[in-house]
Amino acid sequence: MAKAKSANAELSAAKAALKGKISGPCLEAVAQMAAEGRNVQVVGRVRNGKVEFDQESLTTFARKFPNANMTFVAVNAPFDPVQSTDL
Amino acid sequence: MTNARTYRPDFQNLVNAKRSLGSIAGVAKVALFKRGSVAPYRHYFDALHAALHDEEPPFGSGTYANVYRDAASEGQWLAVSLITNAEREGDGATRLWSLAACSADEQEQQLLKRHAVDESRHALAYLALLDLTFPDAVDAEFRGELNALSPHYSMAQEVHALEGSPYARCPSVDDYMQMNIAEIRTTIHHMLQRAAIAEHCPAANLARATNILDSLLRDELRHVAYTAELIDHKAAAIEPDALRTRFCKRMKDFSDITRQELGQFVFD
Repeated sequence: MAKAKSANAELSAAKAALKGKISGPCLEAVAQMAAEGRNVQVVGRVRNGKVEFDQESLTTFARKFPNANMTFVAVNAPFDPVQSTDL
Repeated sequence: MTNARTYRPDFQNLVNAKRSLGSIAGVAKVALFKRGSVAPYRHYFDALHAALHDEEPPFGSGTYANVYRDAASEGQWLAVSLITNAEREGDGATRLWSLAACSADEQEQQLLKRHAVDESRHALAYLALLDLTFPDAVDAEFRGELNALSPHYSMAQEVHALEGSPYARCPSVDDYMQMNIAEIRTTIHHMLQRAAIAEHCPAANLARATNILDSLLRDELRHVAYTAELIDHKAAAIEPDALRTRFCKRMKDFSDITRQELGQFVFD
């Protein structure tokens, strides 16, 4: 019982710390992970085959590469959608 | 032509070749070495060396590796990067699936199909690396959704062109050049990822992560090798200057893409 109360308190504290930075389901998920002491937390969803990250993950990325899109990604197929017909 | 199914780079050679795998020409040499000798691939290596002589691509530089190491020292960044790589592997698989469907040559179709199946599996491999390196970093619902990043192709399936895909086209030597250059960069990334994952992965999970990484590396080198072999094989029907010029152009194109990805980062 005491353990559950303590977990709830940690969850509330985590939510309070995140309030204003993120909202909705993301707030719940991130707060839950923070309360559980997980250092690395990635929140997002997959829509139409693409990953949409939460703002926190994007902010981390932007801190490393302020002017960049996604970097250091695997490419394994032709990268030019326009077909070359002369070779 | 070597059968891609029977080609297995020797693992010890790969481990010993870690240093070579940090350089662009080194990746190509290691990939092709197990096919006997690099000598038969004269046209391919002529074109590759001409491209490297023109301008050193950023992804072969020490600065590029250092930028990665700095970014990947942060676990949060590495976790996002592994997910993004899974997404790109899945997307690449669909491009290759369309190319395979449009190939008029049966052997090339089989090579492209196997490549697409490999990349489809790689999308899941990157997610497995995420699970092992950062256990519980992703909540169950999101993790479930991430499995959809792989198209789940298998050799038992019939290839078909994806509707509206610009890659629903008969593959040309130009396509194989683009694939070869891109796979070389992916192999260089792989070597950087190996070190970063070893740094963050819990000790109890490291052996399993290493097994996945070994499998990925073997596949990436096989992809570099078979595309190089196709380029060299087709070179006989192409004016040598035209082959070199196009290879140089594609290397430059991909260097530009790499710089754009990093926000026009300036490399030494």
